[in-house]
Amino acid sequence: MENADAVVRKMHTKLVVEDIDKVVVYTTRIVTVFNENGEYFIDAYQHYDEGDGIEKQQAIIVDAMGNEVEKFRKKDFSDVSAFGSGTLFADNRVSYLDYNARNYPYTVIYTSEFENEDTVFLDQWFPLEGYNVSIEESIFELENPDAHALRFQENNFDKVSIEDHSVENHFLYKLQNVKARKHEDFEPSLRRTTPSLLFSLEKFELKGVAGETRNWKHFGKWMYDNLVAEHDHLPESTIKKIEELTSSASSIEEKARLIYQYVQENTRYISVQYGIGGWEPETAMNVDRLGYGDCKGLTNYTKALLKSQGVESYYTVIYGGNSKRHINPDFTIMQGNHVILNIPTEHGIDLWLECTSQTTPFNYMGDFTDDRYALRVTEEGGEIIRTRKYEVSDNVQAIECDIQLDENGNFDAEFIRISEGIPYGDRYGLKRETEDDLKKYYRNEWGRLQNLHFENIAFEDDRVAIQFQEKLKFSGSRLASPAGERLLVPLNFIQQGNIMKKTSQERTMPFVFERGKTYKDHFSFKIPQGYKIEALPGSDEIASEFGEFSISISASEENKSIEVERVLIIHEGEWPSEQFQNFTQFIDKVNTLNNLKAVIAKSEKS
Amino acid sequence: MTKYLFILSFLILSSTTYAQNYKFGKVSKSEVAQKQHDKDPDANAAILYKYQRTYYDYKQNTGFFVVTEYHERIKIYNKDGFDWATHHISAYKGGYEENVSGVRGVSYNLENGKVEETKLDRKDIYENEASKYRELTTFTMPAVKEGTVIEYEYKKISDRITTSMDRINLQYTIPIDKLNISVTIPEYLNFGVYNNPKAAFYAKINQGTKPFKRSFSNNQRNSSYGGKVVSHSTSNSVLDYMQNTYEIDQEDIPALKTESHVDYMENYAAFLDWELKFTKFPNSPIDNYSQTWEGVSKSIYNDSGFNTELHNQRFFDDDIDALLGTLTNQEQKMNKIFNFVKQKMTWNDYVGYIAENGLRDAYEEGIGNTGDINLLLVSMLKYANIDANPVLVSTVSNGTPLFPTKNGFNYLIAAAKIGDKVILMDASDPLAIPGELPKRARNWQGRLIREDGTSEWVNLQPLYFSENKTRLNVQLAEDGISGKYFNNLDALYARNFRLNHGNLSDATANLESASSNYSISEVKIENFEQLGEGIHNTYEFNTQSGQDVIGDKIYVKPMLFDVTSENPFKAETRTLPIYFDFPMKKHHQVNMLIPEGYEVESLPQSAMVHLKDAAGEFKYLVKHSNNVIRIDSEVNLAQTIFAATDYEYIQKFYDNIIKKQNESIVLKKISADGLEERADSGR
Repeated sequence: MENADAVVRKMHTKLVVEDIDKVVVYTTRIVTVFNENGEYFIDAYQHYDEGDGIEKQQAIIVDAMGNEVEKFRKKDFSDVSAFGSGTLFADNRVSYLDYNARNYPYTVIYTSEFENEDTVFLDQWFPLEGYNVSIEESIFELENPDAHALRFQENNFDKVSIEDHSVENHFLYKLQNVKARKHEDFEPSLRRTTPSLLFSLEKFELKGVAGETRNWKHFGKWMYDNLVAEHDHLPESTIKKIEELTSSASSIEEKARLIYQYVQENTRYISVQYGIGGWEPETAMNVDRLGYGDCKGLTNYTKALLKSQGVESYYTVIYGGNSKRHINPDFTIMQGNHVILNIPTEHGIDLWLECTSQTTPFNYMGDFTDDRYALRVTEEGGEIIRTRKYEVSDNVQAIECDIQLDENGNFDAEFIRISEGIPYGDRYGLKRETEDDLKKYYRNEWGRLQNLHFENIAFEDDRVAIQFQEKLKFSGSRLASPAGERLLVPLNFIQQGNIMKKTSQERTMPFVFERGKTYKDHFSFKIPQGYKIEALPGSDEIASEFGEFSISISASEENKSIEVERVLIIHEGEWPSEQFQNFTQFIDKVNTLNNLKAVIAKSEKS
Repeated sequence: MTKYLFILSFLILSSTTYAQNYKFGKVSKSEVAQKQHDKDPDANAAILYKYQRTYYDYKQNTGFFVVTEYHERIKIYNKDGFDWATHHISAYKGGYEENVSGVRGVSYNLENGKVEETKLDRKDIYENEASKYRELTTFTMPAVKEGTVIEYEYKKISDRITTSMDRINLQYTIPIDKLNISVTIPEYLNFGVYNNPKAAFYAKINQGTKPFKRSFSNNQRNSSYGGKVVSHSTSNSVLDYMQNTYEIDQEDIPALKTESHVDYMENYAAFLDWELKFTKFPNSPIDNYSQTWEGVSKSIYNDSGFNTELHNQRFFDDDIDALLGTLTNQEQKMNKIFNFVKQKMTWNDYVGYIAENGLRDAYEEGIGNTGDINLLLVSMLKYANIDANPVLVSTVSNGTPLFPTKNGFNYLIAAAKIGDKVILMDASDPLAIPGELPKRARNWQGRLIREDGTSEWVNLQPLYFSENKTRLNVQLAEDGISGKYFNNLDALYARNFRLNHGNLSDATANLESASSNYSISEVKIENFEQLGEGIHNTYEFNTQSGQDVIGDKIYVKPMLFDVTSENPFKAETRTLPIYFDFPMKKHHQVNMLIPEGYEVESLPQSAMVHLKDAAGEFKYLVKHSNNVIRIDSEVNLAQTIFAATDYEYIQKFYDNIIKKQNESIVLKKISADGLEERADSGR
């Protein structure tokens, strides 16, 4: 039981397809929990909509000696709205087991029977459920007595031994005895490395509306017709306003830019989940009236405003999140957790709008929606397209900094940092912070620098070029540490792009960097009056397949300053576990070079 | 003279500028046009007007009920203020009923120089059942943008009239420009009203009186014993009494700003609390509610069933007999029982001094609130002939009560007297040992109550030092540093270590990865699971990058990875008191072996810094003999609460620590003719 917080003794999901609008899901789940962390894997819950489809639900708690401690019947389960407190209103609910453990270990035997009428959402099989959990047995079973057309997709089945006991119209997959393991730094998402079985009915229903999952074109057409179409009517007064607003704009981009600005100034994001299974956008009419909506409502509203000015744009379903998760292009099924807007232009380069943000610049995606497959929903049908990618050369953070040292090691700095690409997204919010919060932010970011006092903090946000500039004047204490008559000057004034790594961990998984980054620094240290440069470390550079690093250190002509040029590039990529040793060697070398120091000393005679 | 005139004209000017109309719907164009708050330009939003009117009314059949009307006008300056457009109104359901009605809202925006109104539609107001006892009415205002002014009002009617009045909040994280509170209470109910003494803002309360008069016509049915109606009669009656009024009419309440090292932020906001002192209804005697802490304690003891609970020992007596066997030592018995309760009982996360489930049920189920668990502990200790009593406590989030009231307590712990020592215990905390309390229970003071009804205050703050001692044996070489790390943690340091790391294997893993520049191996943690024992950590470390070799010299910071490099007090100013968890001593000793072929070029100098009134001290001692450098760094803090005015000293104190600990040792290569050179430098 090494590494295990819990053991899934048995996970048996059985689906019986009774009709295209009725799939009965039988779940048996037996989990032994060893500690508090293991409670995450109890997973005794069932989602449902207003029309309750939970036929049976029961849980039995058994203690370490095998005695039954407590029994929960359906009415004993906690029943709450399926969305958190950030949501104004939602009609999806979840019924879950709320058990207060007294002693560990204990075992939860959970059984449920759920009648699913919204057959567009069906249980998929992800037998390896997480980290620090062992799996003794996981079974996925599907009975299809009437031989409804359906499709499967097996992913990563080669990684472990999965038994396939399927016979005609009765499918059964089984996985047994997989030991728990810990999460390893930088490893790819479980979804990408562990087995999964995707499954869908060719014909499905959602809230009584029938559809087909034959292919993305077909499914997208269904989404368009049932969720998006006819949602784009607007009040005449708004159309007139937008017409005036965009009257001088000629290109698609100019019009879209003005309309996006209008949306940002006149709406805000409020989560309201209702309509068809939480998948139907609020009408443009209502969003116009209320001035708020969720991602679906606001995207649809922007689309409607664009359409009123003759600009065609597309409702696009995507997985939002820092980790690049794709809409599976090869398997048609309801997917995604977010909606953005796609606008093709005259010159073939698409524009992308994140309509839930009042602050994101026009056509900036950042790491929430970049570089991944998404489903574009059009009147003609669905289409899988890939969103914009930010290359290593796009993701630049560049510092230009003059540092005046005094004889106590204190300093005055004039600092400029320019952030572009993905790093832009990490920084542009700074301009909305109060002065106090900004001081806190920099004091925390540069925790190594002591007693920071800020004389001036200014920003320039170029929202067209997507470039954010921070311009600071500040002072601090003891940058250079005294050592008798000398001062040790750390040459990496502000450490950018540090990669923290854990030591002594056995590596079994590949590692991945989803985005490349470029860090460029120029530090110019002016040494105090009466001091001379006593020792400078040599320049150096390292290159590897993971990235590049170079540092060049020189004294200025009159020996009054130390000039440091530093470049760190981290490449995007995925590497097998065997390469991890090489990667840590690269990082160790970079860290060593990041810690270089110069020595300055009082001149003999001063 | 000119100065005087200037002030005068300024006053006149400002009074005209601020002539506002606060009636619902009368939002001015200048309010909508305002771009930022004139006194707090950083504010994301501001409450332009907060109105609350509470009064008692009377219905013939049901009697008194309480009506509260709310009206707020809020200005939203920027996108970060949008959250102020969403509101949740909570209404209690259960023992009494609260009803929310008349919700009305309007958003105001400037469109082409004109104020445009957007009404909150009824269908955009949601009602949710938040829990068994609470119903939430939720709405977010329509048409909200930067600059929008929103306004909403509603009414809450409660059929609960006696004993308590809800707290009235007077300060938020955004400024309030105008505050208008009015509370009217019938003379029959006599309340005291208190400002929060910890808040920087005190409301000025104007008190007065006002008559209430209403006539009713009574349609009375007189019935006989058998319940049969025998006659009807109509009579007129007049309700005529005086009311006490409390009014607050104030301007410019500043926003509450958060700071670090604070016990609980909300305890510093301005608010009003109400104490019912007595009731005097017509034709009835005075009913005294005003209390002393002695009285509160006694009534809790009597009303909350402590006496009965503590005397029913039959359900556990066999278990305790078996547990204790022939033990006679009081302290050993206490420890056994404490561990027994801790092991047997799981805390259900509910606080309270009342045994919610009853001791017997709680014991059988193995689960309960703090009242269940710690009363059970007291009962068992008593059974074992230990002088034990319950202690009432107010948790950190419950704050410090402003007057004697049952609500001033919300938690219970146990106290045992052994010899002349009083030992406090909380068995709801799995990591605690006798004498240690979890942070939630370390607030203000506790009230110990005895069976005979007497009670006294007891101190809850730890007065003893908790120690954190580290020894680093360091071997320095040109190409790296290696060594051994020894660390001893006792008392609350040990407790925090257990709390932060959860379990032994996580603790080991966390220590292994504690530093990114050092590889750490052979981690041994002793006593992690032995609560009450000090924790000993040892490991070996090595690195290639802990020292700087430049030219013929080696530079190294002696405390290596264990150096304090950041000042926890970064802000320039401070308005709230500074809290430390407990009195502490932190000691580091470094023994560094000078590598072969090197000699000391320079060493940091020894130093000592004191805080006033022996509140704390920092010692840094440097010794050098033969080929060993020894450094002792000691930080002691005896005092745990400092006034905001002491901030600068605390900040400087930490700054001195950091400065000293970050000074480098410089070693120099002994040249081939080293002997001569040394003789040379010895002049």
